[in-house]
Amino acid sequence: MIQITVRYHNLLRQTAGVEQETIALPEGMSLPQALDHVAERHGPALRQVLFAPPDVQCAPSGVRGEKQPWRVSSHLVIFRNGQLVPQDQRDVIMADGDELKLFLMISGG
Amino acid sequence: MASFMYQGYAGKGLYVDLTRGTVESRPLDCELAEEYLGGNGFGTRLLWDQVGPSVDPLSADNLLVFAPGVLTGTAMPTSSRLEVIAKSPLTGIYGDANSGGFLGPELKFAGWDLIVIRGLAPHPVYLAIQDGRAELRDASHLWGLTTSQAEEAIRREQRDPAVKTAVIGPAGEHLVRYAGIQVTSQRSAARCGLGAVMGSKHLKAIAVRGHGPIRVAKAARFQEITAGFHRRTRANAIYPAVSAHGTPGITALMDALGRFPTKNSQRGAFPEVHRIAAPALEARAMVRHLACFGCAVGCDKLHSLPDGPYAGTTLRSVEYETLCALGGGIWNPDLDAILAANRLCDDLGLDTISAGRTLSFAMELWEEEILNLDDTGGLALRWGDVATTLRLLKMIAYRQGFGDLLAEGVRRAAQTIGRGAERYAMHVKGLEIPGQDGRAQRSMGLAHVTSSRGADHLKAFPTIDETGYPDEARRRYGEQYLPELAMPLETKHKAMLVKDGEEFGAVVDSVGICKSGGSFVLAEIYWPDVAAAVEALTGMDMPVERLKRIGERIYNLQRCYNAWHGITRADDVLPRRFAEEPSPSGNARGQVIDVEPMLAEYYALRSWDPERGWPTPKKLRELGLADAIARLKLE
Repeated sequence: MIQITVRYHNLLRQTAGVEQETIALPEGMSLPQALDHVAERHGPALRQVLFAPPDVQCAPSGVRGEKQPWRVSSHLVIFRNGQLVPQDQRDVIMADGDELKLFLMISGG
Repeated sequence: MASFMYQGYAGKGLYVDLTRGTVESRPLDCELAEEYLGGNGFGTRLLWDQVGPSVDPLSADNLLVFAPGVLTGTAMPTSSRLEVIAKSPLTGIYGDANSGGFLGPELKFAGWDLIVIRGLAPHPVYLAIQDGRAELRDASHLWGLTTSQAEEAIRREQRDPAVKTAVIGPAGEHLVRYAGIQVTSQRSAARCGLGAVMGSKHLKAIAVRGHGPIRVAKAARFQEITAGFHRRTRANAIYPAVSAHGTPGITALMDALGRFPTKNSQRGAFPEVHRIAAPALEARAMVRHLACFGCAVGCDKLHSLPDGPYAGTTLRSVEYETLCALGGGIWNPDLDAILAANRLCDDLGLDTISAGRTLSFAMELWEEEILNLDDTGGLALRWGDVATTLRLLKMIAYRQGFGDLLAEGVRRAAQTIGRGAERYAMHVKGLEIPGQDGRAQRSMGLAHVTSSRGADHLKAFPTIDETGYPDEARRRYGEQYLPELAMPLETKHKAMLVKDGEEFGAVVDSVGICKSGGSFVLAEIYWPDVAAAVEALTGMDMPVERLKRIGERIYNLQRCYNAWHGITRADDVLPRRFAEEPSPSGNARGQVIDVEPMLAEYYALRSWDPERGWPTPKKLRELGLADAIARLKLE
């Protein structure tokens, strides 16, 4: 098992109900699988903002196989250890001690 | 006015000569409407026609234009916007500022498409407009009041709590070069020092009340279009976060990107950002959500401090830019003090961006021992010193002591100080750089140098690659530009993004809708949407290509205006810090920016002369701007 820290920002913080948490994951889990794990912990409201159905154009990182082919939302902004994770590079494998910062997309200033 | 060829317009402008004390209604020039639409376009053309290089921005001969857009005040979502245009006393070139709120729509309801002001009143006056009637009234009793005091006094005087105003404070009266204009209520037309232009004319305020209709050419079609825009805005994926948090909602994200200018842009992230970002602001001071006229987003919020040293401080429109400039910019994690400083700037009539950036410039000079107690009149300018910050803001507004030097803005102050101070002056063309860092977002670096009013994010407003909007990038530009177009550290395609943003932005500012609403931040409303709305409202035939040509015409004319004032490619540069000092922060760690390759591509896309960065005769003829060829001696 590995441990990662997840920090929730803007509306994700309200939806998750926590500011940050440390969670244990099996080794070898990809980032989309880690987010799937997070969604399982916090319920369908968070899943709906972390993932998008495949008919919405979004990143190509599939999760949960054919039964639940939802994909990580393209409107989710993800930082891994302080670095922005490009939308086409989200299949990265998580490592022990990783920190994820999650934002619902917003821009403006 | 029924006789005007197109609906949506009142068909007349108000021309004010403060020297003679006259106000005069003149018919709107039909060709001006056809070629420049309104707002920003009107002001650009009038400045080009009437204010040459010999005119001192703070003289009677400068023009001050207030112009709502053609869609302002209609059912179009976010149609609250008002443009103010003049030659800037801060930069000496083209200047404009834009405000939401309710004044723009009120001007349309009163039956005016623009107000054109020139001259110098022999004593302080304000312009009172009640529908079709307008007059200059004595404002001697208002001179010296803060913006909120003056606004309240005018309401009482007019016996009308619904009167909408544009007011200057002590900073405008004392000709602070970055004095802004406060617009009902607590919105600001802040940038470029246009409050000082009002002050130089002894014009304290404009007060407007209107009750008339805005006529629509194709009412059913316009209703269908605008209702659709409202629905799309609310369904937009970015809408929930913008609506919930307003611009403060981006603070933590910009910090994570390393795009949050801190300590005068020494850094791109602030270790104490969690103390000033949206969650802290909302927990500490949020009262309720607010919105400007016709807005479905409602990014505006009412804030009030319940206790502490600034208890009772109440303000709306706390923006990301202010949290950055008066927070991380000066290394200040005290949220209460930021709100107090924000309110003070509003009351004094100061642009919070330029004021904050000028303070951070001075604090870095103190850190570098370029300034000492003899220079500052005994003030120690330590990072994050709240008491000194509040004191200096007042000294700037009243031009007292060391504040008199800082009231000149960073470029002039650096020239006066000398001793290497220029290296720490974070500006482009004299306008202080707002809350972005080109090292963290390449397109913003390019946007800062190509903006027609000096360092500015809002002319091109490249939101597509701020954090990566791949869906919006795909929808607007096509799959062939991905993934680079939506990646903040990529330079590929960014010249195209900036050029398109500048031209679309010129149109957005000319029709009077909001960039923080659907057009840029949500990236929902785009060229075909605005073209359809303008056509349905006015009856003007408006294919998308014609609208694009209008945007390109306006932006090229702004460049011509600046070229006329001596601006060349040599002025399209960022401060050396961004090219020489790698960012230590966030996603931008280790990054510097070289704008030159993007700039070369940008000039090529614009068909501008790559040596001087001026529009070519061919381009100017194509845009119907042949008069600029002779004026700029291009042939």
